[in-house]
Amino acid sequence: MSGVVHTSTAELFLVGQDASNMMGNPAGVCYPTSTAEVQEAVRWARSKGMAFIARGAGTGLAGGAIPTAGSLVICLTKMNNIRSVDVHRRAAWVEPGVLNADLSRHTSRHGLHFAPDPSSQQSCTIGGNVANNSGGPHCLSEGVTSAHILALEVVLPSGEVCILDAENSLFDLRGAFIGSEGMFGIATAIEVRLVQNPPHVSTMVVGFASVHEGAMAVSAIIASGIIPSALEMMDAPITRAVEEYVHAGFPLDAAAMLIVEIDGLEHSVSDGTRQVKDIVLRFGATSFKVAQSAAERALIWKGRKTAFGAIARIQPNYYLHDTVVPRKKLAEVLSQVSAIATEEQLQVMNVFHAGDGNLHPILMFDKRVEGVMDRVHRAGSEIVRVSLEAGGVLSGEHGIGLEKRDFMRWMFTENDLLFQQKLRAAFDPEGISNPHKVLPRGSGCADASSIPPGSWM
Amino acid sequence: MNKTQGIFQLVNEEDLNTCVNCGLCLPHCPTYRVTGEDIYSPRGRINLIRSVKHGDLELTKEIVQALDTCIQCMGCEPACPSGVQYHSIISPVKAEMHSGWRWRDAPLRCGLYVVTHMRCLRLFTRVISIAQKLKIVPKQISVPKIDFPRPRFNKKPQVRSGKEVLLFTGCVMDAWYRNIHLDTITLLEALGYSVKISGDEYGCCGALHEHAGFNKSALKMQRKMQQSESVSTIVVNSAGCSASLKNALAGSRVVLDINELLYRHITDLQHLLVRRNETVLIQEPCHLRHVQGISKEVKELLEISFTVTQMEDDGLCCGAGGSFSFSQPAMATAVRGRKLDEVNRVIISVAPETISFIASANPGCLSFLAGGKIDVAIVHPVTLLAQSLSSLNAIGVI
Ligand SMILES: Cc1cc2nc3c(=O)[nH]c(=O)nc-3n(C[C@H](O)[C@H](O)[C@H](O)COP(=O)(O)OP(=O)(O)OC[C@H]3O[C@@H](n4cnc5c(N)ncnc54)[C@H](O)[C@@H]3O)c2cc1C
Ligand code: SF4
Ligand code: SF4
Repeated sequence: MSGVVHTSTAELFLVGQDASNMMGNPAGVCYPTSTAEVQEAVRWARSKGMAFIARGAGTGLAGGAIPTAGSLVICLTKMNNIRSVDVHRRAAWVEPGVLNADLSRHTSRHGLHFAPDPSSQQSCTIGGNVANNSGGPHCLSEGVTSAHILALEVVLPSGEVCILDAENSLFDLRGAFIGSEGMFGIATAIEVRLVQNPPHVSTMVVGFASVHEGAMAVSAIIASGIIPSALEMMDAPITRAVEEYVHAGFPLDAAAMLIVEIDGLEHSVSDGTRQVKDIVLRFGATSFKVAQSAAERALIWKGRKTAFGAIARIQPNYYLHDTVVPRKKLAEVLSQVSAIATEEQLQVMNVFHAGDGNLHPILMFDKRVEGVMDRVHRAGSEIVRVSLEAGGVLSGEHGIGLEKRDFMRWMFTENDLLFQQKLRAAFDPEGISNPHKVLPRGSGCADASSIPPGSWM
Repeated sequence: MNKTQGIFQLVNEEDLNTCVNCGLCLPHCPTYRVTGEDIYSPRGRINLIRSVKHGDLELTKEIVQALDTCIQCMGCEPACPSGVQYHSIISPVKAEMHSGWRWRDAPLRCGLYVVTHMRCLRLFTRVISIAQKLKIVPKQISVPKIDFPRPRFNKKPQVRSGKEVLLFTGCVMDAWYRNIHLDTITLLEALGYSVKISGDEYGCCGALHEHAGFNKSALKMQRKMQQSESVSTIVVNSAGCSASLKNALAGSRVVLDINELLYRHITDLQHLLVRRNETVLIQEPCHLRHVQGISKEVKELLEISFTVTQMEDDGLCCGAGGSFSFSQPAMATAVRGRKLDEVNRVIISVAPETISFIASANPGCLSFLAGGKIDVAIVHPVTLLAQSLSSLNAIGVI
């Protein structure tokens, strides 16, 4: 089956979509099983003057995996072997289609795991994580994907294979490739850094009577010098939606809920837990609970990590934003977000990585309602605007993709964009690797073929 | 553009709309796991059904293939945070696809005819048992090693005074796995139940037909069960049948899976069972874990006598899927291959010589897995428990 280009309408229809609200119209899809087959596919597309696009599990939320019309989708899900685990160096070579959670499950027997843990970790691929430089709740203390990649084997848009690492090349180009959203070629093997599973963990669930108090407590925890391994906040509507599905015992009467996790050696974990408790009580916590078992902890995280999905229990469609604001502005931006939603008559829920100010306001709607998409897009742009005005950035972890491409100018100068375009051209002079993403039109960008239909920003 | 008006109209629009395309179900789908292709995933299937219903896509052969290869293991359903009721999407679709004649369904229809006619089934079983002796059984038919002649039931219940239950004996379960029925009776009697046998009078419950989308035949059999003057509590030791009967007889009878019933007596069983120095690996049938939500029960029951280990694959299907392994042998074998890899991984990690049994509470899984070359004996948990009874202190034996 692999090595062959599939062109059935049904398959093309499906690989034209990801977890965003957009849709593309590719000409073919193939499922290579080796680096050589990826090379073959890239060369084939190039020889036909077609653009190509890497696809992992298609869980991206910013439309990064939406193909341009007439392009070849190179789906890496069949390259899913863990090639080797080096326990002493705490490193593993994996193929790009390995699922994030599978990797940590595989290495758990050595007491090791891959630290970046996006909420989609059960489904998303390591290749997708690299391309989007994904983060997750535990990246607060461990850092996002870029801090955990030791080397990359990449098939360049020319069809050549190269290794990007710190030791064996003149420049360390890993940083350029990680987060390049598939525009610099295709990662065909990845050496990841593994970290030790913590000996002790304390997971706390804290309720607050207002989002403001919760946000103040977050700042106070960080200011106290404690470095939690995760610090997440959920507002009341999302807490209720999630609780209905997981039954994790979340405080249903609270206006905001924090999940605080501390790990390390036994005494520092118990000291930390006590300190956190003191702080949150000082900031008016209405409930405080510590998970008593690994099963209870797992349930809390299941609740947090399936939060987006649980939204369908309220409205059939959602549009999730991903911006970062300075922590001290959290409460202020949140109230602006809620005002924007009210203005556009949309429901909004908030779930976010509070520790690093990464907001995920979720607008909920039913796209069958006449004119609702316009309101959603207007509200989305407004949210981006207020986040940037508060000194924030465009994307915390989901990437720019198609969705935020045209917002890039709000954040970067023409000169910034020109240099980004030059870097891109160094990897992909013909502009055939996932064209039309990230860099806005007109920024000296010479990407091949047309823009995907349905790309609405 | 409305190319396929009228197709899949029975699928509820709200059910389709609950899917937000997030992809969190992908790793829980066995057919996506072995192919990595969206078209063989729950998210893909839902999207295709929706688009065909709305007339945005034609019902092409690829879409038919995508839907035919859904095992209906329901692994995707508990995994979905949006609460998509996948069974209520796929069931009417399968039924619609099988409502007309398709040549390729002919062998399957024949097979389903056989299981509903107990005489045919017995004849077939006889032929197979001879074929087994001659080692000429076709690969596509996964049948366990059949004992011939079949062990007999006792003429009269051994316990007459206790609470009455009806043991549903079914079709294949009775023809091929009579021993499991005998073990079930031994256990129930040890717990003081008076056990009646449903026998040929009721025969097949129609679960296989329903699963394959032949709803008319399934309904016929279910009606027979509903009208029967039987005991109010029905015990079933095949996970696929207990799931289906629970649904069909809801409101009129209490249907219990055997693991559920035994679990209610776990404290009694702690006294009745002896400790054995053996390790059991549990294989969880989809219709037990995903459909009925019965999981910890089997584990805790077996833990009375055994050391228990589990797989780390979130209860991914083994590929048997009712008649699925018969109608879609290629996909089923690929799915089983993945399951066997996981079995072997656990066996190696625990140390090969220590795992004595693999326990699975469904005849389909038992026979399909046994066809996949594993060195460990694959048995029903009930058999393991019955064999662990300390014969001295059963409560009910007269
Ligand atoms: C419910 C839900 C929760 C999420 N939570 C988080 C979260 O907490 N944190 C977070 O960061 N993200 C989150 N995401 C977004 C998404 O899951 C991540 O961005 C993930 O890393 C995407 O991986 P994927 O395999 O699905 O990639 P895809 O969506 O298939 O692709 C994403 C991008 O990566 C490129 N790509 C894929 N594979 C390769 C490769 N081998 N080489 C080069 N380029 C490649 C594609 O071209 C595309 O541009 C969430 C998504 C969902 C649906
Ligand atoms: S079925 Fe559920 S888990 Fe799967 S894509 Fe749809 S909403 Fe997500
Ligand atoms: S029922 Fe099973 S095979 Fe069918 S889509 Fe769901 S998980 Fe996949």
